[in-house]
Amino acid sequence: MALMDRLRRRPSPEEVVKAHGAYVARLLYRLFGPGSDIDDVYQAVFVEVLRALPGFEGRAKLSTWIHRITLNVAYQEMRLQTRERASRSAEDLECATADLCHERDDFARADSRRLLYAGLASLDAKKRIAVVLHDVEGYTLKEISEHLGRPLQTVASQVRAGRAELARFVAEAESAGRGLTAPGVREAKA
Amino acid sequence: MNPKCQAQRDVMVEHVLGELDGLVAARLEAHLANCEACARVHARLAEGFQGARTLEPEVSESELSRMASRLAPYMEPAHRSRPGFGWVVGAAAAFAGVVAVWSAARPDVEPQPPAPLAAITAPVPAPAPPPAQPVRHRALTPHLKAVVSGDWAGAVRQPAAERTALEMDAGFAVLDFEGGEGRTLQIVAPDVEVVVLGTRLFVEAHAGVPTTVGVVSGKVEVRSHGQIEILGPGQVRAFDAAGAYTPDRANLRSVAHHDDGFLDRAPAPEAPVAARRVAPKPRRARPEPVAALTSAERLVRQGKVAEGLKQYEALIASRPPAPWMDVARYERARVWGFVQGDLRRADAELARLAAGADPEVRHQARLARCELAFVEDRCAAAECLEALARDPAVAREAAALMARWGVRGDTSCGQ
Repeated sequence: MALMDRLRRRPSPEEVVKAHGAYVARLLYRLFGPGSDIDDVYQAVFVEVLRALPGFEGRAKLSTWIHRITLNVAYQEMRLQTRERASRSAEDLECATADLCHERDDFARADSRRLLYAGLASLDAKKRIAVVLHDVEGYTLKEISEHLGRPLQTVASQVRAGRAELARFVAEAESAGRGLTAPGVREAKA
Repeated sequence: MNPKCQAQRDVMVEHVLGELDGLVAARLEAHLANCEACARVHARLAEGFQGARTLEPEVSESELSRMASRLAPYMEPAHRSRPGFGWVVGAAAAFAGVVAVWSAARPDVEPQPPAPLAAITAPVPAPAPPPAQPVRHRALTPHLKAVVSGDWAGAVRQPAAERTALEMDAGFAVLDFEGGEGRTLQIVAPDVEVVVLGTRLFVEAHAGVPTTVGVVSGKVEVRSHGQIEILGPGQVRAFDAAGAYTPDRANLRSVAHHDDGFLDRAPAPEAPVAARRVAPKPRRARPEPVAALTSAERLVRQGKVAEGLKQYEALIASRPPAPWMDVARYERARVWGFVQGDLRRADAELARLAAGADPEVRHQARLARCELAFVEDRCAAAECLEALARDPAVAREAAALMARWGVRGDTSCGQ
């Protein structure tokens, strides 16, 4: 009855969500920033996990497998956000990230971490995921390259370019918040 | 902006993260000492990364429950045994009911989604339905059939045996997808991505008008511009870049126009559906799978092989959910092979299980086939296990069997 025992040990969908839900939510908050609306991404992650669960080979730990799915779904969400941003009007583009639209005048007081996440959200998806995984989550370039299926050099240049854009974003936000320059948080980019 | 500042900001994050050294770092540090604006940006970045890297977000129980509640529609067992004739009757009844409701054109009776996953609000006027087109029958894959309009444009890709992707650019299609055994279908149409979970549905796409998806039976998940919606029987939604909405039902006439029996999975019942439903066959009570399996195994161990086999047969006939059906077939095959010595029959059944969708069942069936080979040909069995030992998924079990059967490092077969 080895087979039956194994199948009985296989976690049910409810058990998977219960055991890994908090971990996935925390990971998503780290990827998208505290206070982000992660409901849809969280749902998409578990829809993917539950759909693939019967085919889970058990070659990796379940938590590792869910972690990878979470990163993939998060990247898809970042791509979607990039596309949505690109489709907005020029006026909207001036305050390209949600936080900044509401609080651009408060940047002098804003929490630096939120400012950083707003800057990350302003990057295009490829640079954003590369910078978040490398500089926030602590992955090596090689790991990111393997995970995203991109050449190592490409990932390295995406991290480098993303960092430079991030610094420019913070500089412009700083200036705008202190009334030192024109109001735009950052120039609109199509 | 000062070009010097610009150049220094390009490497500021590297400095903040401690990755910069040598001359470049020295230059930046000298610049920071003299440029207040850049020093502020540097401080902000350092503080921001410090905060992000040490972030341990709090997730409350109520937040988790709220998010978990949205997963309820996905919590059903992934593998269900497919009822045979009952499904056809049910699908036919559902289809007839849906068409009847739609034909009556009663916009106020649109059923609500079982669990709305996103707010669906977009008062976009419905487009005029396209004129009825001549229909074509297409068996797109062994499990996907379609009745499509003459202007239908689409293509099927099958990146893996169980995964089918249908890209549809234009036209009208009523589709019937037979799910189960891990099969999935994804339909990509303008503004819409539909994940089909084993069902009959239609998709309509025309240039310049929203794409419409409607479900005849079963369930689909539709993704459109970040929104996810589950559609059940009788539900129709149109999707465009502005969102999703319930369209005018005029295009549903096309469903009736297209449905000519081609999509039915079994010959149409001879008697009217209603008559069949009035006099259903009495059903036998389903045995509880785990208890039945345990009891059958006990009987076999006690030497009551015929009785044990009978229990396995009864369980298989009751069509339990997929994992238990597979276990029953697997155990029955072991009894055939190892107890009754009917090697051919056992091997054929194990071969079928080894090609199934469930990886656990697959692995065990492959191992059992190798074990079975020991009865006749020790060398063939050793070879079989050696092959499995190279597969990481079953390497450990294969090695254990090789040790148990004493064929590890056995060179006699090579002579």
